[in-house]
Amino acid sequence: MAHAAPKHRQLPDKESKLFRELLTQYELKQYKKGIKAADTILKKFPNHGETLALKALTLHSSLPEPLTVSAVPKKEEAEAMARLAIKKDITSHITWHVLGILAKSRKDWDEASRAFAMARKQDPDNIPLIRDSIALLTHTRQYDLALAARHHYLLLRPQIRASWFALIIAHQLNGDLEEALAVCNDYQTTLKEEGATAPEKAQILLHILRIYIEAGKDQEGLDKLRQGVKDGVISHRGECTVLKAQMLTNLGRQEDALRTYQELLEQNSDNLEYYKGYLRNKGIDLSSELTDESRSKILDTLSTFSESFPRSAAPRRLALDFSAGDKFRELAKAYIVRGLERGVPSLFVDVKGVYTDSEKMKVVGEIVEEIVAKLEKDASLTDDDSISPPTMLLWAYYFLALHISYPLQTSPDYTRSIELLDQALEHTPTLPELYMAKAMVLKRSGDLLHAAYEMEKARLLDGQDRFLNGKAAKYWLRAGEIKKAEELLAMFTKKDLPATQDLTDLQCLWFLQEQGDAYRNQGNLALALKRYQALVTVFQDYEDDQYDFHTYCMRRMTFGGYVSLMRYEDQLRSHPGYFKGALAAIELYTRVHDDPSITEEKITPEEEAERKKQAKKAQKAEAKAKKAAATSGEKSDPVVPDEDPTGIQLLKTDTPLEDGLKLWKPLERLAAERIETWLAGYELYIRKKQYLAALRCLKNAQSISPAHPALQYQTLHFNKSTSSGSAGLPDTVKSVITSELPSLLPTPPAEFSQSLVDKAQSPEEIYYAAKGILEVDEKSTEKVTEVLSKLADKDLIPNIAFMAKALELVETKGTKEAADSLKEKYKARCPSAWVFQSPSEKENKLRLYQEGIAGFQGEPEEKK
Amino acid sequence: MAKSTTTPTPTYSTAGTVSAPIDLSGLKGEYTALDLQGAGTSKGKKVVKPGVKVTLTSLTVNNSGTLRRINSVVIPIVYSDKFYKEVRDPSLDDVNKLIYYADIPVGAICCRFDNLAKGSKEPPTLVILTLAILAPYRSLNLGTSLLLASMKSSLHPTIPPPPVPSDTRTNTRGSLTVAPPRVKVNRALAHVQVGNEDAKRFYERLGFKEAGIEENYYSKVEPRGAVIMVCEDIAAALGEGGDEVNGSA
Repeated sequence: MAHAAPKHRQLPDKESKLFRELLTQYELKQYKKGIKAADTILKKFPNHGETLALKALTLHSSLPEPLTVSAVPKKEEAEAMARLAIKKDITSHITWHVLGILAKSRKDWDEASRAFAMARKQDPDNIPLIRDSIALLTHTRQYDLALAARHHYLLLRPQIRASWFALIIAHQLNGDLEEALAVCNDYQTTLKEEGATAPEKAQILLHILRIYIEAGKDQEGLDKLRQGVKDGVISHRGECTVLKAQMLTNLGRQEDALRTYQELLEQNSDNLEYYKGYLRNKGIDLSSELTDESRSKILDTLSTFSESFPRSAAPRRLALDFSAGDKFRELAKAYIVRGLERGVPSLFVDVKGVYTDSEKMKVVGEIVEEIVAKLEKDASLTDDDSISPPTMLLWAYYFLALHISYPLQTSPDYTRSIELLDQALEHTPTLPELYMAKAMVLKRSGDLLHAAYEMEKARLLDGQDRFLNGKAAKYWLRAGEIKKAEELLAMFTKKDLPATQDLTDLQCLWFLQEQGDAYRNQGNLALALKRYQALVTVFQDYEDDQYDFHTYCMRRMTFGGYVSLMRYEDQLRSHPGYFKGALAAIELYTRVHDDPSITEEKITPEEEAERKKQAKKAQKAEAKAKKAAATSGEKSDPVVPDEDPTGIQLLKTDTPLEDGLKLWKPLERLAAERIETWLAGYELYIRKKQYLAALRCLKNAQSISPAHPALQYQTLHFNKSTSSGSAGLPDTVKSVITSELPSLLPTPPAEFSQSLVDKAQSPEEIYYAAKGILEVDEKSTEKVTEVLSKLADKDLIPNIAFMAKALELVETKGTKEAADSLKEKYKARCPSAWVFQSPSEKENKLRLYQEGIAGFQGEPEEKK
Repeated sequence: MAKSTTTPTPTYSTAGTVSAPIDLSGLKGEYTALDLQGAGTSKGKKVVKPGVKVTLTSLTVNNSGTLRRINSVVIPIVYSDKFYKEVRDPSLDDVNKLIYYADIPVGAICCRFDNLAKGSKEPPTLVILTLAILAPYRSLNLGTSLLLASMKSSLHPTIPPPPVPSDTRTNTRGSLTVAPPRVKVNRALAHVQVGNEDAKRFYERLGFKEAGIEENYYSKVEPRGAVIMVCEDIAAALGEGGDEVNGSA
């Protein structure tokens, strides 16, 4: 160090030597030795701040991961020691740096940022410190500060290649592409001797090319690319061709772009993007409405491709999207026959993409009906002597069954679908897909328990198929059999952990969501919330996990992957998994706010007794384990247990709305285009009595979908809440509401509500229109029931979820008789829906299903 | 240790590298491909178009559910858990198989060996316990091929025999015990219910002959008697030379 250290920091020679040893021991991870050395120094100089800091750091690093019970006090000791070290030596960069590192490991980014900033003030040129702080700044998205630090780093270490590239990336992340390219050129003119390995060079060049595209400098990029290929830096295949095609397209050089896309298609003839790129360069705009002329042009091109790539399904499938009328019929038939002949299980999932066009859906249905009829009659589609494989009829049944029960059908025919599947099962009872399809159809018809039993049959056919295992578990969860599901899942999870724990560790999103839903439906809100929160934590972990990549990717020179990771992390919480889990949790929080009494568990005496038994059992097991540990002589040091295994503390929060808002905030930013975000936001803010924020949610929802039924209901609700609770509102707020509300609510509430009722067509509209009536007049429950009974209309697609919601509404607001008669109506419309069954019916059915599965593989019995 | 003084001119070859085309047909993985014996050529059977892949796989604890389902659909007898456990015995691995038609399990054969011990009165015998093909897949030569495949492997035991995995412990490469080699089995035997002429003809076509009737073979189904069908010389039935002595290792 250039300037002399302050007096209190100086150590005599012997201790100073020990201090240096301590540093190396920390770096070599010899933590025990390090702590010893630190103790030796501290014995003589108990007030030496830097030693204290290093001891804290060494102690902290020596702790096991995950934290065990015995390590908790040590961790606290280390934290306290680091803070003490600052007090002893506030001008040392070491003490601040250590404080920052400890804060970082707690994931307390704010404190870490402050500590690193302080440390850099003390010693601006400390290399490890700059590196740590760059990673942190990038992680917290303070790109401008990160850029400054990078720049400083480059000045200190200009001879290291990585510092140049890191600066390029820092400029790119900061949004200054021109500067990034300028640095890149400077670097290339400065350093002639390249020490990078070939793959590194290729990675770097490809990334630079991407920056050129992003900056809109396609011509320069193209020149660079040519040079790179000529110098042998990058291969002309793969990624390079993709970039080239993109640049040529941007430059409008259609001929060259077409040739490049042709090249790409020869490399991979199944990539839909390549076909689309090709067509776009043919001068066809795929996004707008197609004219007949462009339609035939597309189909001609695609048919040429399907001749040159006979093994590729992509051009044939694309042609289905762009064709219409008789041409579609012809192409679809060829495509479906080919798929059925080969026994492609995913054929339906593939073809159903065209079902957004109801005309095409009808045609597909006719084609498959025809195939089934012909195969049943002749066992062959052709007139020569050959026959089709017997599996073809099987797959045709499967396709048809899925087709007629598809939710987009105006009247999905579940009965016929099940009949077809039964026919197929008679044909070949060993194909798991058939049982799965049957389970799915039953699920759609509302009979969740029967569906679970069918899925279980599929699983029994192949015990090592984890997909079937997971599916079966999911269906059991939906049917409310949580324990059974866990038993199944345990077959594939770690043996020494409970299945739930292992799946949480593995970040299994669907499981957390489904189990949460299952608990919620059973009324166990605490555990439901626990699972939803676990889901949210998974996404927090994703975000935190990116920290290591800020240094790792710079070292490995994988810039392309790094930048796309950063962009992915920025929109991480728009992931449907987070979206769904967060909305479900928010709904629970609003329910807790409306009625805090639901956090109290309602358990019957039998359950109480059962629980006591369980507790006793657990106690015994624990005692036994302790004893075993004592006799074996090993000191057991268990991992810190979960403080709130049942989630009851989560549920009994004093601030449910704030907890909900915490989950909602990321959605506001990242899922702003989804109307559900704003609907949920409204529910939170109106309860917090923040009327303007609630109004903003409504306005945002309106800009997405002005006619959304839930929005209409919320508007009525808002009108009622503000007019009744406006007494205490400041005038400014009132005036905003009075000026803004008319755009949402153009007519008087009663009239508005009536208009909703009149135009309600879909189940969702009917349900919310009925809810809206209550917002206008709380007493008109009869009218509500009347509107809700429309859900059972013959010409309406039955929607069991809304029917169940409707029943709940009538049960809470109306009379029991009204609810019962409504239930009868719904049941007549959806005869197999589980929720509408009476207990005795449920019991009968259950017995039937259980017998079915027992006889599934023949009863175990001695032969002879 | 003498180094050759002239280095041979390296010839460029991609053989053995990843990008070189490799012949996958000879590889033995989880399943074996099966040629349908004379499918479509014999007795006016129709040709299946397009052709279909037919494969055999071993019986395991995991596909046991499929095996049970096939047997319970095709055969009116209910077999015990013990039966299904025994047919999974590693020594029977090369004769007990599931048959897949276009990747769908459609049939299975279960056998056991009798009289393997030295000094038994009768020659070692392959006893066919069940042979089941789902109805829509009959007349495609699947049954014949399946039976012939089992007879062939009983005549030609796999060398070295497959290791015996443990049911109770985790199996590592070192923990596997090697089974003793099995003798060649050149005699096969099957029971056909009295009155089941189709099945009888099926076995006769493959070189089996009637060798008596066992009364009360079946306890739960009528009629109870079973015709014993025996093939004294598998090698001859398979059309291989008869110079091998039955029972030699």
